[in-house]
Amino acid sequence: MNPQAGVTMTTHSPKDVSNKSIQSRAAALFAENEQELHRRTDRLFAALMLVQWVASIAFAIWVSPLTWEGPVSRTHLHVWAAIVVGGAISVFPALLGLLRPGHTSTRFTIATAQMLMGALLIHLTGGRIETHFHVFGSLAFLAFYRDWRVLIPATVVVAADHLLRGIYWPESVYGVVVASQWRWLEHAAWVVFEDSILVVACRRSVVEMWQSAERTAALEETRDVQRRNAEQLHRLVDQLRITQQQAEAATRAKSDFLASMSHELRTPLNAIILYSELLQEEARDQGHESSIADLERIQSAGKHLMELINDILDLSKIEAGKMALSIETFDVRDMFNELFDTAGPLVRTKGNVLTLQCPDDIGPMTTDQMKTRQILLNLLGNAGKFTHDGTVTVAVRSVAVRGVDSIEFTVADTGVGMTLAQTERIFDAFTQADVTTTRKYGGTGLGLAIVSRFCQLMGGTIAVESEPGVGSCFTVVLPRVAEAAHDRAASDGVVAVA
Amino acid sequence: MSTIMIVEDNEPSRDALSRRLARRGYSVIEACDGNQAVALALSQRPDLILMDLGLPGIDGWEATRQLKADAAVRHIPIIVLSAHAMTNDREMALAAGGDDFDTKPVRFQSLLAKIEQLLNARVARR
Repeated sequence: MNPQAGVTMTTHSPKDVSNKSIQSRAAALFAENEQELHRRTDRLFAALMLVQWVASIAFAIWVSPLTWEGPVSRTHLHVWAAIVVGGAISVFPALLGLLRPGHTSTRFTIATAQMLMGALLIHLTGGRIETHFHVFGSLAFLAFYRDWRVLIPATVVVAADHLLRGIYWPESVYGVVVASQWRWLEHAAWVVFEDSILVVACRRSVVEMWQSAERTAALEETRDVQRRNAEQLHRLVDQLRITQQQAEAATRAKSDFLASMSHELRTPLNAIILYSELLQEEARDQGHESSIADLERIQSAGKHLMELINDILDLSKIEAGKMALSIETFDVRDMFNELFDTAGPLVRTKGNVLTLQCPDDIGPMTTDQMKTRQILLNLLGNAGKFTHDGTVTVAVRSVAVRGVDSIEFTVADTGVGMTLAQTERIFDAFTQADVTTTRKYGGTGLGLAIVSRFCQLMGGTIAVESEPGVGSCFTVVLPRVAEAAHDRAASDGVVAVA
Repeated sequence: MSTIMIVEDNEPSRDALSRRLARRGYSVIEACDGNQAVALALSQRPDLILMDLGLPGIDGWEATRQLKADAAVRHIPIIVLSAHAMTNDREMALAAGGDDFDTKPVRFQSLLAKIEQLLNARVARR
């Protein structure tokens, strides 16, 4: 099987699905907008119908209120025509516009009635040419529907009205008794001229409405996707927070367990070491030399166990965030001289030469002295342990690390050294360079893990360079003033004591 | 010869420490809880007290505080011994009135040095 086949054979891309849904949503939005436009325009025309009816009556009364037969006058026929014919034209479409807005039939009825109303108004003003403007205004107004089809019945009504009245009653439409037989065509041509412009306008409007609907749909889709993404992100963050809390609780529980276990182990161990020492003293006094070696083994095993417990305790304290810094100011040179006295004999046991390079003006440090000593003692102990008839060199100097005044300690030996793979794991807990190392050289395998965590706590770093058979060089850099480490330790949940 | 009171609830630890101190020529009084420690200190007036912290009844902190509050026994030096794991015991022990501090399991030579130093200081003060 070609593993790539499955990838290339994808038939349904999510983009297609999303485009399809955008299109259908756009269609829905368009239909909704169009319907709303038609309803609104229907209601406008309903109002206009009633206004025009009243206006037609007013026109009739203004132009020819009375008809005279000698001294006797009565209401002119035009007034009655305005009331009755105007009502007949207006009321039905007005009712349709109010009661059934948005229907196609309503729109077409209104278009027809609007043009008939124009015809009535022209008639009532005695065929005044100015009143013909009503025709053009009405057509423009009908274009509000953005449905060019309503212009068809409107145009037909105008043309038919002019044709028929032009033939049978030219006065009523042109205001003259005799009119050219083709004058209706001239009028109709102007109407068609306006129609053609309005049709283009309507169609363009519709296209714009479509585009707007598509944009809105796309926007909605984008917003929807964003909302879904945000929700998913929220869920993930929540899950992550819970997982983190669980992990932290587990670490705390583990550290607490280790700490209390270590405590419980110390009490009987205390008795074992004390008794083995006591028995050695008594054996010496009483001359039981044979048992002394065995008692020493018990004592040595007990002390190794105690070292392990102490290291585990230190590590669990660090991991539980309960390892506090006890910051004080001390002279680096003084600390070194003291260290030299303590560690010197340890390093020299295997025929090694220990040299110290420390400038007299190295000055003071403000950090955790106990932990600094513990770091250096551990490194010196290791150097002594893994070097035979060689040299161990300790160098101290003042350096600036990214602008921070720091002290650099290097502990270099000419011992067995390590491979690159070994140096990479050297600061992890329970990994001496080799599992056989512990058996051969002793130690807990936790020393460097603790050293590296101490360095972190004090805001410093530790690094190692090594070559098998040549030697190892450990470099510790600590800020001269452990202020920064103070802050970091606090933010890590470590209670720092100044 | 000086008298040392060991306050320790764990019997083997108390016995081993007591016997080793006795071998060095000290006379040793043993107390296994805080109340007994206070009572014995008042009646026997030892020259130095080794005080464990985790004790039944009143604990080592409280016993130290009571002894240091009593004018009759205030002068007796107290070395606080702690097997506590997670606290800043050194500072707390000294704050409670302890004169020195050591961790358990006891490193006997280092403890002996502290005992001798405190006893000599007392002799010197007299």
